[in-house]
Amino acid sequence: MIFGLIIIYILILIFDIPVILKTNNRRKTIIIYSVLLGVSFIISILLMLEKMPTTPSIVIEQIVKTVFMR
Amino acid sequence: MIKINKILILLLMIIFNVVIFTACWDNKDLTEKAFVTAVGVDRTAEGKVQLTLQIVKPTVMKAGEQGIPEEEAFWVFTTVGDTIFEAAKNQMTAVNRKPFYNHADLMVIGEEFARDGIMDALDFWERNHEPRLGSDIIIAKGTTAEEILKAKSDMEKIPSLHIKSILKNSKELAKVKKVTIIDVLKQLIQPGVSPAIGAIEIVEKEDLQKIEDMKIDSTAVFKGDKLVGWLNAAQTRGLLFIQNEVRNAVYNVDNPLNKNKKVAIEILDSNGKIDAQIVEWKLILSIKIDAVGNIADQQGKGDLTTKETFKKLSRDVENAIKTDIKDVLSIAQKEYKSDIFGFGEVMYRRHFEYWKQIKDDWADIFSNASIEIDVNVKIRGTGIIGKPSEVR
Amino acid sequence: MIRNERISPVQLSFIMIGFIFGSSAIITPAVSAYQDAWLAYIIGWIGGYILIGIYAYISILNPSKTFIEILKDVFGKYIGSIIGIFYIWYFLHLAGLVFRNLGEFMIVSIYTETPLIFIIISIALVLAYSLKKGLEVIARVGQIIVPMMLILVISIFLLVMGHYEVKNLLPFLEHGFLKVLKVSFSVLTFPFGETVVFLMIFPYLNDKKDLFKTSYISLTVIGMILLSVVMSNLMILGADMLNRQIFPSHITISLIPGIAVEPFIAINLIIAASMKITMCLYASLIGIAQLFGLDDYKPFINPVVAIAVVISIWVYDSLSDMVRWAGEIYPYYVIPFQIIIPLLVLIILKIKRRDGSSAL
Repeated sequence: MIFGLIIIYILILIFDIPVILKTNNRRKTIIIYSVLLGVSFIISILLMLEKMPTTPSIVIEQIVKTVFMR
Repeated sequence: MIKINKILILLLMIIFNVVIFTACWDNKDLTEKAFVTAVGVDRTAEGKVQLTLQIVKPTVMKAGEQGIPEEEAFWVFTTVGDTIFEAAKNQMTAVNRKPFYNHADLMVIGEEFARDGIMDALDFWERNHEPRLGSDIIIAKGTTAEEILKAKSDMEKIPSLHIKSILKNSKELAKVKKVTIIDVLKQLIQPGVSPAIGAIEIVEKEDLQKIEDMKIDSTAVFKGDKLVGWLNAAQTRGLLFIQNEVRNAVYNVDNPLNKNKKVAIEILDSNGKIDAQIVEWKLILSIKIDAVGNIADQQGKGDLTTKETFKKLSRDVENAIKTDIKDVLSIAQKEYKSDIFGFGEVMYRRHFEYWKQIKDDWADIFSNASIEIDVNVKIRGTGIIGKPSEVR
Repeated sequence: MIRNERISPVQLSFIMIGFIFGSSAIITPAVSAYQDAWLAYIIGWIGGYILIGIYAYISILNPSKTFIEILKDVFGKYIGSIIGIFYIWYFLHLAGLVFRNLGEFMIVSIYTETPLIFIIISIALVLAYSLKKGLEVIARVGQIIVPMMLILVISIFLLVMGHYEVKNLLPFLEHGFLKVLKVSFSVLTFPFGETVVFLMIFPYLNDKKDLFKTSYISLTVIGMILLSVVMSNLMILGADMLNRQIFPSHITISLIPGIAVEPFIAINLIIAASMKITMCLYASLIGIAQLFGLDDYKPFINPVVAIAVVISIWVYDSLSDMVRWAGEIYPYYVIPFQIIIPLLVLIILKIKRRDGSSAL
């Protein structure tokens, strides 16, 4: 399964590399791209291994609860 | 280079879509599924749940159109479990295919099970996505659902369809109370009303039970979700009038011109309304029936087409209907103490503040309430002849 | 501005109609008000007019700027950018939530044994492709499929009319008016307040003076349709069942005798939810590009879609969790995004106007 995941991400990279090469601000694009893709990759790997990081839902729930002092 | 890329991607997408949409994840061929047409729920002696499924044999259905096989068109399988769901899973051991409940349009509940409370059976039906909430439901009186589902029918290859068509004609017969599962669920949830469900019973125990030999003309009375008693045919008719579910009914009254003969009055349409009003802190419950009738069959001589005779005939019919209504009211109030008519619901909806105070005592208040009955029958005609033919 | 694209008012209104229909087709917070759900819904709907008015007005004051650019103008480059990042997070989060709604409905009612991720990825692939093609293409597709969806919804609505029981609307205000107000606030934020996403899309309208008219007409059309859906479900199922069923429309539809109408709600949902997700993702893509001064968002489509998919799986463990969170937490979480910041922006803009013209 993890193998499949990695393949999917590599496929995405393959699709996108020609697109990235065409842009003007190459450095900026690569940085932002890596951040975005990297984040989703890391989270999806963690989800697959069931080492779930704290769901944003829970974080938001905590914030909402403290702000509105329910 | 770009062109090839595009074509490749397009091809990939087409293949992908074709693969996805032709074979679902859990694809099962028609021949691998067991189509359930009726479900029966009983209570065993040890207190477990017994589930009976009536399953169609598709091959026999087809063959029947050509030859005359002696085989029945359906199987009946029975399993036991602690919950209905467990019993349903156990069906897999008896049936070699996975039961498919989407076309199960009839649920039969055994009397023993119903006395304990039918909510358990209904939860199974409601929670799963396959069974349809629009299915009919009946109670097996004096017998088990298993017996009912095992019975054959000469009129339909699949007996449950026969039962369903009898139920479907209920409004034309005014003899049996047809309800769907969602109706019962809504009545159970609703404060101020208890369900009344049509009942089926076996007249004589035989080896080869047939649907044609069964009686479907009584009604099961519930208090909450527990079965407490029965209504006979006349009381059922009264109930149907009150609940505005009569499209056609027949009453035989005395021929006013010929005392020993009868005239059949056919009720063509009936409008039944109940109401609950609070007048000066007193509760007044009322029932109003407006019906239109025809002279359908006249025994004996005489010209009945006069105003006076029409008046007398309608009064007689009104009294007959009133008798049925009084009958069902008294048995519901005195014996069962269960509001199957929905007076409590009217209170909840229209007089909410008052209802809040009395809702816990509703069973008592209802059984002691006096109910006004107003029945109006208008006799419209006599068929296509006026006076009957005379023997000279 | 990114990618010189233009859409007509008709296209915009179809997009908005599809967007607002979104996942409200199958889940709506109004059901918490039991038999007064219709009233809570109407109150929320009216509030929607006010919110959309605020968003449209902000856009009219800055006709060719998207919200991210406006934020940078109003709050300065640094604070504006930070707020912008929060908005981009909100758009992505919203896309993930709608994805999850869509997927859950599919597996609960139709594809019972297919894994959730598979359905979400299937749809995500299509949406990624549409994003690559750009807003004009999406708008043109919307012109075709949204009217189809509307026709289906209205037909279904007419088919079930025979089962209505008006008594299901009584007793009126059983739980008190305060509860109705609370629920109407949830209705306001889901789905009406989510049109804040359009603050990123309005600049692409070819003739800005039609903005108010377009937005209000779309809101009216879809508001009426959603109201009829809520009322149908309420009058057929009754208040209690409406509240307990996770997807009430599904049960209502199954009561129609004869043909199996259930797949049609799935179709409607796919159309509407796709519109919504596409717009959220488009908004976040434009936002990312503008925030970092790039001139096209094309390279980021795949990662952004991937993030939305990942978010959709990440956010909840179960369906009942999703319903609970959406009902209790979401309305409060979005207050800054839908109400506070846009109001602030509007106020500051008006003040700057006054100062600006008097300085001349």
